[in-house]
Amino acid sequence: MTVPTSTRRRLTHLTTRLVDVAPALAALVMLIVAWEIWVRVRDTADYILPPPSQIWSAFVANRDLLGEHVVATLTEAGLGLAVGALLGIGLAVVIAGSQFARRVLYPLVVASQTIPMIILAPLFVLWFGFGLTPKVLVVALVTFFPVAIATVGGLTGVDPEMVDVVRSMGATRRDILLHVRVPHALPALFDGLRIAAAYTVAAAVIAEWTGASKGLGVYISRSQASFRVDQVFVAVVIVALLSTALFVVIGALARLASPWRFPSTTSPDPTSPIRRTPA
Amino acid sequence: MRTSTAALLAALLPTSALLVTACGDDGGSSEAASDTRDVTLVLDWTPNTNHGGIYAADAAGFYDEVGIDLEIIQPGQTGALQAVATGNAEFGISVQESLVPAQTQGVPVVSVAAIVQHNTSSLLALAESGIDGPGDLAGHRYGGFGGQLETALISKLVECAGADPDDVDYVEVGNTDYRVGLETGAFDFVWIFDGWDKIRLEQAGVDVSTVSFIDHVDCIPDWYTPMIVTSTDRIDDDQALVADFMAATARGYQLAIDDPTAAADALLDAAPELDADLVRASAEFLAGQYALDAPRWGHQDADTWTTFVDFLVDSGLLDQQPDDVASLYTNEFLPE
Repeated sequence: MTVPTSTRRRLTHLTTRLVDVAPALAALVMLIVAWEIWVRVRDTADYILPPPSQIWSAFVANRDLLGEHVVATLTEAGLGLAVGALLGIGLAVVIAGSQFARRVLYPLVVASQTIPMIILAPLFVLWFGFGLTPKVLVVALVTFFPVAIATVGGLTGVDPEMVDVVRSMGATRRDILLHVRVPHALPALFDGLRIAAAYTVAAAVIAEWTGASKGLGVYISRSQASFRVDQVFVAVVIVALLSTALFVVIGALARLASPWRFPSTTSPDPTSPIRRTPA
Repeated sequence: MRTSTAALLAALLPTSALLVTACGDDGGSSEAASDTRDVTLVLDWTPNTNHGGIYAADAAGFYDEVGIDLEIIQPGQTGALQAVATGNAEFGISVQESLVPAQTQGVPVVSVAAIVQHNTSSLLALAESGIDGPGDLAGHRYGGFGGQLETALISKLVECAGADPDDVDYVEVGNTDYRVGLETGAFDFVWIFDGWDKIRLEQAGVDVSTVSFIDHVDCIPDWYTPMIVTSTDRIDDDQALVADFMAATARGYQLAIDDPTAAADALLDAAPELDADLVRASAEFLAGQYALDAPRWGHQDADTWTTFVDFLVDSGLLDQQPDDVASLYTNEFLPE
């Protein structure tokens, strides 16, 4: 039987991915089963800790309703992450570009992270009302920081000898930024983005607690008001899944943007000098 | 439905007063006349049966009839008072204990209707706690939000019963579920609302005992909680809007009084996350409370206002006495 090489590769690839996530999945399943048994054996009350089966029922009962909440939260999260990423990259370019800017801005950027969001978010509502703006701002403020810090590291971490070499070939500062520093910084930028992505959805939920009419944050507080801990868990699981999905999407973008960093494990390049085994 | 932290609110209010001038133009428009007007209402908490008449009016199309397109916002830390004062919302739900200190500090807010005529708060304990009256609170632990009003009221109740207020222990519990706290013995009694928290425990078959505030008005004041508020600017600028909104809202509360099931269904339609059994029982309870003893729904009585403000002053909860208690509220926008 002959299977086309490409299909075989893809299958091998898929199998590898499954093998990769299998331990985590197995642990998760065991945790859920243990949770279910624990709650049933101890006869724990629903309003303290509901069993996973009840959380699933709550999800099924609420699934239509959850759609609009998820869309609202994802909109805030997506826009916030985009604004935060642009802000972070912009700041990083400025900071990496001059010693003076670095001295002025770097401490401010760090200081911005020391103000608890729980204090800032209600003020944003006073200033910007109950629309999308204050929520996008909260998410942007949470996400710009890891992007900025990581990108500054990437932009400034270039081997000085390489910069010298390129400069000796007549490159301007702009050339060096675009052709040396930026490509070198891309992996770091995406690392920062991935960290940011992990916080994004949770930040949007917190932003919704300062005043909203839709979103997972609204769903959670209403569920709490009705003492429905099972519904709270539904939201928690959805937040976790959305965050993971965002993390994976950013990872895929990183692959596209800097493919040299992710050599394919399934089809080693036979011509690569690094992988060639000595005869 | 636990009390909101009046103290926290009061602490935040000076900030908002500063902001009023800085940014008063954002938010919904209140353009007059023929076009539909976008109106934002900020709740005091998650949607619940206190708001039953508003959801009933919305579902029945009463707001549409007066040309109002209503958006209802669920607030967080930012209370409705700040949102109304800054113009981010036209109307809000607040409570008397928040409005009074806010207004004395210059936040231009005014109450246009009392949603429930009497205070339906109680102190609640498990039946096994042995708390049968206010005197029994001494020697027990109160789980609350650490608000000064809570302490003042409980102390007064205990004092009136001839016991020593210093024998009450106070512990701050934040947003923890009071049922868990009571059942694990973290505290012995809590402040609850009869129309929500007490019904929840009754439905769950928990044996409880309560000290209802309304049974002790010889000792502590009765007061309006919750109420509909707007800003004095709004009243000056667009009296017609306030009148239209209140006319539709009053119709909604009359509907909620006459047909609690319809009001419950309207609320559940808008907030399906809520527990349906709890909402229905609560709507039934509040139907008898909204306008109890009052000439009409929403009416605010000068005596109730004065007595409560005096209590705040006597207990040292107000830095500044209001110049004129009558400026804190108006019955002007209630339909005849």
